[in-house]
Amino acid sequence: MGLKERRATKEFQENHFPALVERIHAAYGGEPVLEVDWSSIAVDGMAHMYETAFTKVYFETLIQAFEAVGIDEMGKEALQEGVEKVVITNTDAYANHRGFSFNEGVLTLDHKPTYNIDNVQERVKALTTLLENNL
Amino acid sequence: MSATGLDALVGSEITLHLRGGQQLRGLLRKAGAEALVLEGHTLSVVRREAVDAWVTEATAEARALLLDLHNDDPDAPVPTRLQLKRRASALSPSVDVTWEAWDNDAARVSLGLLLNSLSEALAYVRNTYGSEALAPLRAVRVDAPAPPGASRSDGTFVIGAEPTRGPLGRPNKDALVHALERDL
Repeated sequence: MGLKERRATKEFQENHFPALVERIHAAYGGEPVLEVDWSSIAVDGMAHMYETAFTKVYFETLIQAFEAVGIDEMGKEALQEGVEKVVITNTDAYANHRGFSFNEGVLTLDHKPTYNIDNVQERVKALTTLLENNL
Repeated sequence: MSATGLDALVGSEITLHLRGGQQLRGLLRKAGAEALVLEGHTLSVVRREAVDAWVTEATAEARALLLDLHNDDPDAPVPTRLQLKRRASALSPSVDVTWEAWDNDAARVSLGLLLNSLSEALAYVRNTYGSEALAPLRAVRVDAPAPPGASRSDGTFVIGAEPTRGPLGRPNKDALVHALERDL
């Protein structure tokens, strides 16, 4: 990660991430452990896209899926009992929802940050189904 | 499609597009010509037990989905586990399910249809005999995998089902009504 990428990541962490975390907590109804592998998602040469890409690919997807699952008390309880930790990462292997997994309370969103950025609804649907089938 | 038309298709490979984006590829084999009606991508099963004779190379899950096409809207999405939990808890009495047994698309379709039948059976008994007929019923439980059937004893209504056998693996509404009517 070069200087440009480090600066863009810090800017995102300081100016955008806190509000997104608040929305995650509200949708979940609590505070799940949130682990973001910043070094893997801050891909080289794409610093100018971080704000849009990180927001849409990972956080908006997660928030909307949590909101869909937690639409009633049963859903909220299922989320709080089932999802203990959320991991956001990029192994560079997935550009779609096939990198999403849920095992033993750990929800992992493994996705390339700058691919299919605008396919938010497709990812939300897949993540919602994944959660609803395992909670 | 007529039986003659179906006969002409024997030996050809077909692809069926099932709910949930699943596909079922198979080779049409000769059997009772009246058993299946093929229209576009939709195969209607008139005599359901004949499916295995007609379609080969299909997974058990796909076969069970195919079996259920006849009973439900094929375009409807496969219900998720949480959706089924919502429906099970909304019934009165609420239904206790061993969820681990219903962990694939075909099983969830089958469980959704079983809950439909149960809902209809409970409503029928209430409407016919009055709600007091169900008052002694304190719990409903779905055991799976278990021989398909239903029995009522000691305030518990127990339903047995085999998740991967489609309609053959669960009691229908009439069987549920019959079991609920016992001991009234």
